[in-house]
Amino acid sequence: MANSLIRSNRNNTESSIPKPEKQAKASDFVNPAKDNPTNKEISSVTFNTNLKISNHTRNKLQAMSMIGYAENQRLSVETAIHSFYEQLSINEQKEFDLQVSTLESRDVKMKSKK
Amino acid sequence: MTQVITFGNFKGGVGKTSNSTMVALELSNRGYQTLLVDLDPQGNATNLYLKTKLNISNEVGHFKKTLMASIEDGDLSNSLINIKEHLDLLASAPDFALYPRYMEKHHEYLDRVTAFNTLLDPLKEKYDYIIIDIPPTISLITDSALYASDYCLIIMQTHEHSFEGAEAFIKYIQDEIVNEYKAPRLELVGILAVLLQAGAPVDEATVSNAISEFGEDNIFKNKIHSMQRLKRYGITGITFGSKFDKRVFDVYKNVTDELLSRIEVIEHG
Repeated sequence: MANSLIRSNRNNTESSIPKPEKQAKASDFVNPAKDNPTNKEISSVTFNTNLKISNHTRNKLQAMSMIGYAENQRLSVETAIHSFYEQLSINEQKEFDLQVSTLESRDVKMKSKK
Repeated sequence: MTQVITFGNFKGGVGKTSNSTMVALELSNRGYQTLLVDLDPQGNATNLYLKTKLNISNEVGHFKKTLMASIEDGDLSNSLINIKEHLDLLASAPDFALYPRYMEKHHEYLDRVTAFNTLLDPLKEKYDYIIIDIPPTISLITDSALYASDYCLIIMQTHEHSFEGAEAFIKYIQDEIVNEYKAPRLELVGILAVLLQAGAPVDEATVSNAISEFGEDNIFKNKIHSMQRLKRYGITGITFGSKFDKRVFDVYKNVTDELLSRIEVIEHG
C-alpha cells in the first residue's frame, strides 16, 4: 500500500548503511527563521472545557479542597487523577499515557484546523 | 510463505475474536492450511472453535497441554487441536495470564517480546496462514503477537471509543513495535469497520471520521454489519446449513477476498 499508516521495517534495506542524524541543506541558510524555537511543532494545546458532574461529586471535590488536599475544586480533580495514576501498574500507566497522548494530539489537530 | 496476521484494537468487545475466527474459517475453506492462535487468556476464540468442532464432527476437542504449559516445554505443538480440515487451533486457557510473569526470566524486555516469535517459528512450516487473536490490553502478550506478525488488521467498531482505540493502536504499533522493538515484517493491512447499526448517524460519522483520519485506502471497502447470527456463534459455536449462516459466510468470503488482495498488493505491488 502506497500510503500505509505505519513505516514498517520490512522495506528497510538501508539499515546497514549508517547515516548521519543531521545533514545541512542549502535551504537552512536561506531561511534562518527555521531555527526559531517558535516554529517548532506544537505537541499540546491548553484550553478550558466543561464537564457536567452531579452535586454529590462536586461536594466531594469541595471537601477535598476544604480538608486541604488541593487549593480548589479544580485542583482536587488533578489530585484525584494523580493518586489514581500512582496506583496503576506499569503496563496500565503505559496504556493510560498512550491514550492521553493520542487525545492530546487530537486536540492539537482540532485547534489547528480552526 | 506463511503470513502471520494479528487482529487488533485496544478497546475490548469490538469484534476481534468474531472476525479473526470467521476469517480463519474462510481461509481454511479455501484449502489453505490455517492456524488460529488464541492469545487471550479469556479463551473466547478457543471456546468458540471447540463448540464449532462439536457441531462439525460431534467430537469434543482435547488438548494435551494448555498453551502456557507448552510454552514452558518450548514446544507449542502439544496445544494444537484440529477443528476441521485445514484448520487448527492453538488453544488458550486462563493460565496464559501468567505468560508475562513467566517471561520475567529474561532480563531484557526485548528478549521477552521476541521469545514468542521463536516459539512460533517451527509451526510456520505447517501453515499458509496464522491468525492471532489478542487480548485488548497493552501487555507483553500484545507486543509478542505484533512482533511475530507480518500484518496487523485493525478492527474498528463504529463507536467513538473504538475509533480512539484504533488511533492509539496505530501510534503504539509505530512507536513501540516497529521503532522500539524493530519488528522485522509488521505492516498494517487495513482497518475493518464493524457497524453497530447501518445508516445510524453515529456509525456514519465514525466511518467518515476514520476515512478522513486514516485515508480511504486504509479502510476496508467491505464493512461488517451487525448480524444476530454472528453474535449467536459465541453461544452455539459456528453453525452451518441455514440461510442465516450462509449470509454470514458470504460476508466473510468478501472480507477474505479483500484481505488477500491487499496482502498481494503490499507483497508484490
